[in-house]
Amino acid sequence: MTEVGGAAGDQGPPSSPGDSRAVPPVVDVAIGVGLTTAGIVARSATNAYRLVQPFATLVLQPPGVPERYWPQRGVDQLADRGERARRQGMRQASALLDVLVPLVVDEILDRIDLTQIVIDRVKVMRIVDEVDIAGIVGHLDFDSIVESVPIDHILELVDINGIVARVNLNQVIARVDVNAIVSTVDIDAIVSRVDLGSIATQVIDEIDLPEIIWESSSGMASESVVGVRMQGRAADERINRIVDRVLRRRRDRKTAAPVDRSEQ
Amino acid sequence: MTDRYATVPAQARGFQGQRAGIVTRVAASVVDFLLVILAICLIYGGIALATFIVRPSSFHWPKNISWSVPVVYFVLLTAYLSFSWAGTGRTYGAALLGVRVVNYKGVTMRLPGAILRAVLCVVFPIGLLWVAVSSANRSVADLVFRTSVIYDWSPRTEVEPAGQTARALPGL
Repeated sequence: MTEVGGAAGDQGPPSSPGDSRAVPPVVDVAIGVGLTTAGIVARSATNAYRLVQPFATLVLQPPGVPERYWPQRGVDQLADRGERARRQGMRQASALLDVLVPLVVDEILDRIDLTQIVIDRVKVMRIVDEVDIAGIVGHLDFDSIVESVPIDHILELVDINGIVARVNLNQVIARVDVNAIVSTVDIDAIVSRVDLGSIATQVIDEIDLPEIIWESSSGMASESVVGVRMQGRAADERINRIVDRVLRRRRDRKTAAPVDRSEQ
Repeated sequence: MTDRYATVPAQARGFQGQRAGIVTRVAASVVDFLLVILAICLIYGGIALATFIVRPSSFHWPKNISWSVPVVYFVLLTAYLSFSWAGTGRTYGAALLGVRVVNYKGVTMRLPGAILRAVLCVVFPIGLLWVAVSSANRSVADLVFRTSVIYDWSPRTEVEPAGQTARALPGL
């Protein structure tokens, strides 16, 4: 992912003209000579081993000699000893690296600007292009994430009133086209769902319409007339009680008059 | 059925339609009596004024009219009562005190019955006091003509027994 030395890599082979970091040709010649020599030595050794192997086997494992006296055994013991020494050395070297590497890395990092290197060398957009964001999002369980968020606690911390106080509502309202909103409302449908009859009945029940008519009528409806009539009615009752007491009348008076049936 | 007493104040609806007591009826009768007396005074005053205007030099208060006063009183009061009872069931005094005269059917009297009842009331006014004694709040005239005087504060017009067009209450 990280393209270390990418800037140089984009410029073609090191030997190309104009490359300030180009290696002198003598070095390549030396490397070529070395590789050729190594190949020759390797092939020679392989051939020599093939020629010597039967004789070496005869020497290390001489026939007619008891196995415990074979030179092969001495060679094996030497190999075992060498292996043990090698393993111990590896362990010691590993322990030494455990101590040294952090120290060395720290010293290196202290001497370089890693952030600047990343900025200069790392192509972030290429990394982003390589990332399958849709796949990552698809693996996320948003429900559990949302459930784990303490929304109530967050809301307690938020000063809603302060936020609202900073909002210029007049400006917001000025931008709202109320007429357009109202034009989308189906008022006929709303009115058709309202039981105007029951509402009217409730209103009429709540107000004492006869009382209002009585109060609004003139003439005999005046308070003084009502007062005179009420006083007359009270005096009627009083006289009736006195007379009934004098006459020792125990039953109530039958004051119910005939009713006009035609009005019913 | 429409509520006849719907326009009556709530505190008075309970006794509407019941027979009125002695005080209310006497008060209504006194108002009617004073009205008739006032009318008689106007009549005789008018006659005297007319006499004065025609012959101011020889004007003197009318003499020998005392015999006519009871007659005028009888005629005037009988006519006033009978037409009021047969028309709306109320005289002015009755309208003021909120009472109304109805017959045995509970409706307004017819004119012949109203005239006879008015004659009896004018001739025998003391019969009104029987209201206080009667266990049904009925006067002598009520007993004779099977009528009732009921509390009726409704300002509405009366419906004639024959279903004729209603007429407005006098004085209202």
